Amino acid sequence: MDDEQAFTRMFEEHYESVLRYAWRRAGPTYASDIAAETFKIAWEKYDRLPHDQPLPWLYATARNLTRNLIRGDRRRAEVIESLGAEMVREGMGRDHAAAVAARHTALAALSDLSETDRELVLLVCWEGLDVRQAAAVAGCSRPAAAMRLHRARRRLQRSLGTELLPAADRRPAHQERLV
Amino acid sequence: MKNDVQQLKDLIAPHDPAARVRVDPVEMFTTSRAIVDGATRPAPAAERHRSPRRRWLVGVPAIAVAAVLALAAVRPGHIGPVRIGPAEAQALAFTRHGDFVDVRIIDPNADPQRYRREFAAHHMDVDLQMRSASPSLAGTMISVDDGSRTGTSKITEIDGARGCGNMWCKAGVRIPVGMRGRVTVIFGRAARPGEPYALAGDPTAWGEALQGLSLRNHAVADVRRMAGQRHVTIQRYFGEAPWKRPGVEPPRNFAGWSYDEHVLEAARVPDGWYVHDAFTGRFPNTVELVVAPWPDRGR
Repeated sequence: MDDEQAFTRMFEEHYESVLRYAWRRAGPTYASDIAAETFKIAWEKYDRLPHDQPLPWLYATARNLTRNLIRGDRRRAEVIESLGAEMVREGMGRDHAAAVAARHTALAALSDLSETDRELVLLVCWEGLDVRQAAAVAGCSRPAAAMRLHRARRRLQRSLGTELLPAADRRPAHQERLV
Repeated sequence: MKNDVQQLKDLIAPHDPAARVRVDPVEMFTTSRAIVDGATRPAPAAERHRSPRRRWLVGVPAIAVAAVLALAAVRPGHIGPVRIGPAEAQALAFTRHGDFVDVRIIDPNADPQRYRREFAAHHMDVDLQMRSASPSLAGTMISVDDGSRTGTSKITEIDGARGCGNMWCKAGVRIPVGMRGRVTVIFGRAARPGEPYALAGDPTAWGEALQGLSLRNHAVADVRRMAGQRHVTIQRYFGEAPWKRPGVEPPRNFAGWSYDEHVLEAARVPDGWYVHDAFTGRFPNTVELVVAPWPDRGR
């Protein structure tokens, strides 16, 4: 199998995962661009790619692209807005007001974490990576990742443990920041 | 640590905003081609000496994505037809051949009770089911099941005089005399006015909307024109699996390809694409096409 065939195969296997990665962090507006750009870089650097396990490399590349994209405050606001809107649409589709409120709450709690902590949490929860792989993508050691995940778990449980309030009384923290 | 991860998953995993995000396979294919064909890929030695500033997505089309829609449609899988003669008083024809009895449908529109009575009169426990079918499948057997494992059945099918295009179809069934156990046989019958087809045949087969035409590897524009000339509506377009392209192997986690999950908007199917396959739609004078940007090089 030549490089082109191998790349095409990798693309078909992993494109959807990378797209979801970008969707989760940058929202639907930018997800396709980030995913396509990630694979464009992958093709340009195909010789140096870890061919046996390319997904963490692809995630790390998508992560860098996402961070560049949302570097400016204004764009970051757009991104968060769009992610929140997407969550609302998803929730409305299911006609579950409680689910929408829970999602806003979860998103707000995640937004309160540091960038690296949040990235590690999302990598293990949404991308399904193990701690070692997540550490590689986030650019830290495995013990550091384990410590960060432990800390994040405690913080999230504290934040989300206040859900006893009626959903209508809660406002997502990120909306408050955007006002 | 494992406990931390599991607890985090319990908290966060259900809120995944991308859980239902899926990629359009045809556009995915187009994008991968655009990357491979369009992006400059510097030689490894040269690349080490330069780090060009990245420009976003030059010449690479973004892929449209969509949440998955559940599309309910009946698709005949491994099934097929042959019309037997005109309606007669008898619903079934039984012909003894040594230790076997050949059973054919004579009246595909008979009352199911009549079939049961006639089978019972021949000491056969046969559940004959009739489903509404497009013309090439009406009156033909499209499934037989005696509960045995594949390859061990003593029941055989009877070939008919007329084929049914690329579908599996038989004229009837040959059952051993004195066979014990229930046999389930499914035949197609003509659809009633307004009734959707439960079994849709090859649209180019005898009696169908595009009878006698050859569609495979025709440009989409040609097939649109041919359909228009016969007042046939192209009801849906399906994207072909990316790995059907020559030289591309199925992914390692290959789990099949359901056309119903890869419906394309008509406006997004270019005239220059190729038709790989065609199905009759759920109603008369409708067809569904499997399309791709590359020609079908055989199965």
